[in-house]
Amino acid sequence: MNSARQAQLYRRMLAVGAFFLLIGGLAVAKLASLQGLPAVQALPESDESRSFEPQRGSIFDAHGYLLAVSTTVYDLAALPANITDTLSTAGLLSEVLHRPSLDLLQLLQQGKTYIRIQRGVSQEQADTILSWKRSGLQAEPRSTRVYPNGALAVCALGFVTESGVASHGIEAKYDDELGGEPGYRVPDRDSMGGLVYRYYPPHDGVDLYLTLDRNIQHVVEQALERGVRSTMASKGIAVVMDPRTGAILAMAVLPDYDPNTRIVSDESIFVNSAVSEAYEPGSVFKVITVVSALDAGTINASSTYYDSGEILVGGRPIRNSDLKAHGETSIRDLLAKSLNVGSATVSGRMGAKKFYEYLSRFRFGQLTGIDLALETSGWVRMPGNPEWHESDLATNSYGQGLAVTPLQMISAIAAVANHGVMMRPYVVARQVDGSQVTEVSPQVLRQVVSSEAASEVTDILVYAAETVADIVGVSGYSVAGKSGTSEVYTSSGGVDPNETVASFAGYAPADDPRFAILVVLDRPQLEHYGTRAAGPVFQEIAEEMLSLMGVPPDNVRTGNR
Amino acid sequence: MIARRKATKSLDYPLMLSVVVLVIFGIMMIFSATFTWKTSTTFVLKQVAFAVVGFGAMAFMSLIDQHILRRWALPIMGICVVALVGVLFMGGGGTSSWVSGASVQPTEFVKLGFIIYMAAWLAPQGGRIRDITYGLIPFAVLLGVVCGLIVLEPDVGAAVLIAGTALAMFFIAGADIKQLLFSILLGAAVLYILVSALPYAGDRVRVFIDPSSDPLRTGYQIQRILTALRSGGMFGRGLGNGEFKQMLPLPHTDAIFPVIGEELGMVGCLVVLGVYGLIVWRGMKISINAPDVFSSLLAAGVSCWIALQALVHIAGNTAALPYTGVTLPFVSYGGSSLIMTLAGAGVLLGVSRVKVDKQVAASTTFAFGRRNRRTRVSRTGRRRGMEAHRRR
Repeated sequence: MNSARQAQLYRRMLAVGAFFLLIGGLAVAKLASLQGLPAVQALPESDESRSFEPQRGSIFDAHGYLLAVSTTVYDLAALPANITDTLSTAGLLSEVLHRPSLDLLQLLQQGKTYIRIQRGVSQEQADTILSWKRSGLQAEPRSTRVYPNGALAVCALGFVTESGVASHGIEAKYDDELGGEPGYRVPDRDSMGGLVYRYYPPHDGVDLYLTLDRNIQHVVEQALERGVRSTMASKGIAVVMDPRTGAILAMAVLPDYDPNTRIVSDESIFVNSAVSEAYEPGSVFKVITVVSALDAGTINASSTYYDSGEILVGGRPIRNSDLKAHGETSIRDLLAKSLNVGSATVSGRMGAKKFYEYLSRFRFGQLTGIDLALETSGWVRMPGNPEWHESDLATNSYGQGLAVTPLQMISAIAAVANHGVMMRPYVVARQVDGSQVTEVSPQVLRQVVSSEAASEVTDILVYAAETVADIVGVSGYSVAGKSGTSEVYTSSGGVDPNETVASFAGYAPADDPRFAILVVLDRPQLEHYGTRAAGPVFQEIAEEMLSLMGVPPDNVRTGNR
Repeated sequence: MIARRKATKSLDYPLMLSVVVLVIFGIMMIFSATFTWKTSTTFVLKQVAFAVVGFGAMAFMSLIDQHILRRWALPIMGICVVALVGVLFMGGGGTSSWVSGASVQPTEFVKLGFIIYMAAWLAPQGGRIRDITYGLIPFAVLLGVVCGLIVLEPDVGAAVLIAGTALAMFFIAGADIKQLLFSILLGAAVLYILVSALPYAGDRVRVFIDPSSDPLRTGYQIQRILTALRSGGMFGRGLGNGEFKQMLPLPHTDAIFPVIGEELGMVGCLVVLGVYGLIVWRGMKISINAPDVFSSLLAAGVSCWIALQALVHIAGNTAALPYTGVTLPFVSYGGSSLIMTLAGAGVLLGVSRVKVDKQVAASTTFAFGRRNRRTRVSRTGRRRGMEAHRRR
């Protein structure tokens, strides 16, 4: 570079440098001026920070009736040493708490420093007690969960304990959404160095609106209770589903419990047997076998088979439940008479590969994905499993030797009702977070079988239900249904003919189903067979629901008067 | 006539040492700033990894011949423009997810790339730079396009930095002062329009003028920063003892200076400022002693970039200038930022290595007007016509 250019470069570089120094000097001046202000003191210890509890979200049914809500109650306690007039205090308390004043007097005269008088006192009672301004009485607020309808739909709802732990059902599944976010405050300094608190308000939990309908739920629980009582069953389960959407309209398990108090003889009552326990479905499962075979083309509606009363599969004999031979039999009679030999013949014709492929399509052995806590996938042995035996192909075809949950069973039946389209079952229809509403839309799992196969099976099931119309039928409506009776293996491995699981599954109106119902009675003592034990419960629910939902009779609906 | 350049082993060691010290200090401060976070160690380990890559980039840039950079200036500029346009179409993946440190920030690459291109474009201009058609207009168009793309991202801080660096280079290269003043006025007008058009930029300027206005939103940041600086006092509360750093927005990147201020006090701040002063002083010295005009402008550009970025960060974080989201070079967390500033330092070191025999060097002055690959750098029809005119 020549010297003139070098000199210019040098000059201009100096100018730029001077500009930088100017800005740097400004920053330093600012820094120095900050030193002139009074020093900022350290913040107080962080244990002064407090957290603020959010309100747990409420649960409503499909029409907005309250099913679960959180309120504040008070735990009443006393410091006897600080009470001046024990006698009059006990008298006043007895009026508010509706307890004998003598009991309270005894309580207060114990020689302790701290006495718990009563837990869960209501807001009004606590307000009254505190308004006396008597020393020595304390009321500590606490959040609690109230279920205004008592045991209604408790198997789906679950509960929240006093310590705030959500257990079972929707409460457990949606604990994060319902629970909300706690608020808190942290100490801070304002610009003048004064102590201030920054407050982050709690975010209240989300309100849930269910697909369950309080009225239908009540009808289902009443019918199931009558069924359990009249048959002396050890347990009753009923699930009602809208086959078009997968929405669960009602779900009941007996014996039940009151989620407010949760006094039970056995904690296994808390388990929702409709989704968390599997049973052997018995002959109801033949519906699945037949619809799969129709869809696979193994059989058609006019197919027949020869029923000799007994066939050997994998070296084991398969017999009809009536132990009779029925000769040349149609598929229609196979289902109507519930012939084990028939379904074993059909599954044998399908072959293990196809049969189990259809079971997987219907999602047996898999979770349905319902939004309830503790769902179980049941238990299906597939070929390839070392415990699988050739004879399982036959026994599985009529619902023995496998275990499914009532929810899996009704989902599969609902898929047949819904023209072969399987929907994901769900119970929460809407989440409301303040002003933000999230609707849950029905979700198609897949087309399991063809619409033709499904409607053929529906026709057969209408015929099957008509043969026992006095027990399961509803006059004026076409009802499709199938019963099931499965044997229960006793602990010794044998079979007791009096120990059965009786069930009935069906849907109505058959041509345009509005609901699908599954009723399962565990070990009914007075009636052992599916139709006779569970059929009347199905009939009662179906009849009531058709009128509750305002479904016109078939002749009005189709216009054939 | 070709300059007899000789690459020596005598690097500018004070410069290198300052940079290394700042990077190590930065890792320390990032650890302190993020200490209460769950992911603190992740940030520190990532920054260490970035530093390793960055030192690799620094070594590479210090070893290659500046002529290679000059030859590749146009493709580098092309990549910069493509990257900026790409970010616009990808939906601002750069700026928005920048905090996570997961994405590449193309503006950081553009800062160095644009300096290289500016140096390559300015170097052969010589006295023509005073001519408006060859100097100011192409300069304004080029700067307008690049800054416009960055403002659209939107990253006004980076655009201001690039514009400032480019102006400084234009000035150092010998621009006409009157033209420059005019363009600065024009730039100020554009900046004014931008600030009034972009709501957040306008808020920041208002808060700068009156820090107590809007204490809950924009003013909140600057209040937190000033509280942290004040609580540090003269000697600070001790490394890791900061309390108000936890309430700073982005204490590991855009607001790392108040963390330094709270924990090491005003003394610590002045030392950090001093180290930047040393780096910039060495950079300018390297520029003045550079073997050729390109290298000189390159070194001047990188020095101005580092100086401006450090000043905008520090001045913004002391309320001496409006607050902008700009990282503190070598110190703040951020892969793209650290790697590219270290590469810039590598460029300075590379220029410092090259010594030229004085007499040969003088003759290079006359090589300005030669068409030494000038057409590779900028091709406008008008200039080609100019060459034809000259040849005649």
